[in-house]
Amino acid sequence: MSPGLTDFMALDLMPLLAAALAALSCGIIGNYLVLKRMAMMGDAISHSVLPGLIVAFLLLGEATTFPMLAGAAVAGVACALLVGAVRRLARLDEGSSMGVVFTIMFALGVVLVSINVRNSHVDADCVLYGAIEHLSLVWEPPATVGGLFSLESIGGLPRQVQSLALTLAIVLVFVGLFYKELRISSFDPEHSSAQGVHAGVMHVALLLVVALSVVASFEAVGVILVVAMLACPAAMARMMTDRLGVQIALSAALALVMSTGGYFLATRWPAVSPDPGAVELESSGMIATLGGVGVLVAVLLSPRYGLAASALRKLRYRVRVLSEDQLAMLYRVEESAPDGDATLERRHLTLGVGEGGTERLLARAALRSNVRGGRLERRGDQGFALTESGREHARSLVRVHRLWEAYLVRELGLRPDHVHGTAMDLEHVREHGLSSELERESGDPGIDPHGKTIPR
Amino acid sequence: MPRIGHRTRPDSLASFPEHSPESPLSIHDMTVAYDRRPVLWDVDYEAPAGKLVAIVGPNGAGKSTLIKAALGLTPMLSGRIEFFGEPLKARRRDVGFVPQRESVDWSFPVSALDVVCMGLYSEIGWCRPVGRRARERARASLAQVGMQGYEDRQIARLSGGQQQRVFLARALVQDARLYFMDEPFAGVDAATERSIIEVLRDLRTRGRTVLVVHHDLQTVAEYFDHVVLLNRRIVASGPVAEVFTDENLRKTYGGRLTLLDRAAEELARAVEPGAGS
Repeated sequence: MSPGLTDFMALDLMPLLAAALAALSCGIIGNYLVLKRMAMMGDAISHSVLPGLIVAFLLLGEATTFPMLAGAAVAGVACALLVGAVRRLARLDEGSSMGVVFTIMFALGVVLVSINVRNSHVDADCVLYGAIEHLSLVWEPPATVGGLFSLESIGGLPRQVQSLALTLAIVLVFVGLFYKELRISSFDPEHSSAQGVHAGVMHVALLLVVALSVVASFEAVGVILVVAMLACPAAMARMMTDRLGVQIALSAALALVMSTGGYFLATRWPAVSPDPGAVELESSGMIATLGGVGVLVAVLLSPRYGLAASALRKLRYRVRVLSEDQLAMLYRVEESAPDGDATLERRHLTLGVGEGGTERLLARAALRSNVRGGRLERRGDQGFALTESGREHARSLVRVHRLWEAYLVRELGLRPDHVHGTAMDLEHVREHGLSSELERESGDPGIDPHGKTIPR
Repeated sequence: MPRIGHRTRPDSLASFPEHSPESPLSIHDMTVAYDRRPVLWDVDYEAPAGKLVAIVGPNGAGKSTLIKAALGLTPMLSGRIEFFGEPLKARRRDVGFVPQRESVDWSFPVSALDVVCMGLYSEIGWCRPVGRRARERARASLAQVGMQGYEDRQIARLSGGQQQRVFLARALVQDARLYFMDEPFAGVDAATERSIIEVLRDLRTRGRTVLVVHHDLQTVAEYFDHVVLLNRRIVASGPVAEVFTDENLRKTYGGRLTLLDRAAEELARAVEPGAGS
């Protein structure tokens, strides 16, 4: 093996594996917390794990793995149940109830640590921030890469990695087996229960799996940052798709990127930092930070819900409205021209669109799109006139505009001189079947409230 | 009066003389309370088979609570419910439910077809995937409410009326024999209202029973055969022509508290001071 690979296996492989497994478990199950709008429950559970760990330690007198994990799991589930109980009994909302329960449980843990186990193996920092880097100390890498896959070396993996792998398997089986049941009980709890899929039972089962994921992961990222693993991949994936299955797959991929990326950024910081004295960074912090950056990017760039896409949609709509207004304007001029022919110059067509520079640019873009779409043609140096298809389009716009005016006067009893502006907005609404319904409801009067003929 | 505490319960409704075993829904002595405040008292009701039944009453009369308690979604203080002479557990597939549209989060990442398929979950059974045949049936059900072409649309991008029709299609695909619908007409457009009426009439033709929480008193006589007038207890129930009278409506909607109501308020106040606001 090359020295680089040997180093990688000795130093990075186990921490990386732990981070990735934790991110996958939390990232996948976190989808349901985000969808049920209760991601903070993950935070509550992770904080209340501390007293469970300490109590298990006090009972056993030593820090053995699985009993400690069991203590943590019991505390996590107790927290979830207590939140429900406090909400009912103290008549609080869910958020306040969580605030009461998990801070008190966490505080209890802090007190227990400071009283009893000051010099023990329970390291408060490790609980808070995680310590995956330590995993490389408890693992002896095999001599070759192939040796990794022998039964013997799998059995020799650090027990945190083993329990994380087991947790991921449980999460995958749970989500795979109860995919349909989780979907219905998260979406519509009442209908779900009526269908025989008891929503309360599914909820408790979900909380159990969340507690398991959180407990298995807190060593990797610490109790404070585990909520980032629960919430960030799901939140990013939700912005990118409207399908639950795709969302879950995406969140898994993003969890992988977030954990491995965060780990490498943190551990390779001295190599990329301009500061020659730079040291390695806390990888749990970097993983969570990367998650936050990812959510920010998703908020900006998501194809449907992103700010960029929304701004683009608004611009496109504005250009369409302007281009349709240009067609309708030419149509109205044709109507009143004695020979039925009309040519307008650019400055006329972009008239009245406001003085702003952007508006002017958009009006020009609208004009260009009309010419390119074959709805307007150039006449002479400066002029524009309707083509046959442009006239067709304009006629239907003017028709819908005047039908709306007739409807507003007839159905809503508005005064005829009040309806033009509203109709200007409504004529651009395109919905299947709307115009035929409008014809029916307005009574198809033939002339609009101003006495103008409604074109066919 | 609600009796709070223990009471002996008969083993089966068959021991009651007024009970008919083939009734789609038999409610006997149902009392429901939130925080010990009675919401429904001593409700006895036998739904007629193959009829469209409106449940009407003022806000807070317990109309939705009646449905939810019958479906086991809200715990009862006392009472016994049977569907076609059996407990709900044995008849789940025969009982369909259309909840209020506002009761769910419409931004949930599912398509219209996904939601309709949920009506078949009980039939498909635990842990099995939704198969192609189930999806075909869901597609047909969507077409039945005039929603073909919207199968893959995410539900947030449907209008309110279309969302209501998706809920209706979800109930239809189940092919139940008894349906509960909680305000299906609330805030829908004309096309949806027509579609719902069509569906209701079709269900009646096929011998199904539908109980609908309804707000519009103007249309009760036009749309429904039977009516239940509810104000925390059943004021009257039966065929619209006999029961939907001015006097019964006054009794149902006349805001004045009866002696019974006042006594119950006092009782709740005595048991739990915080609740008596």
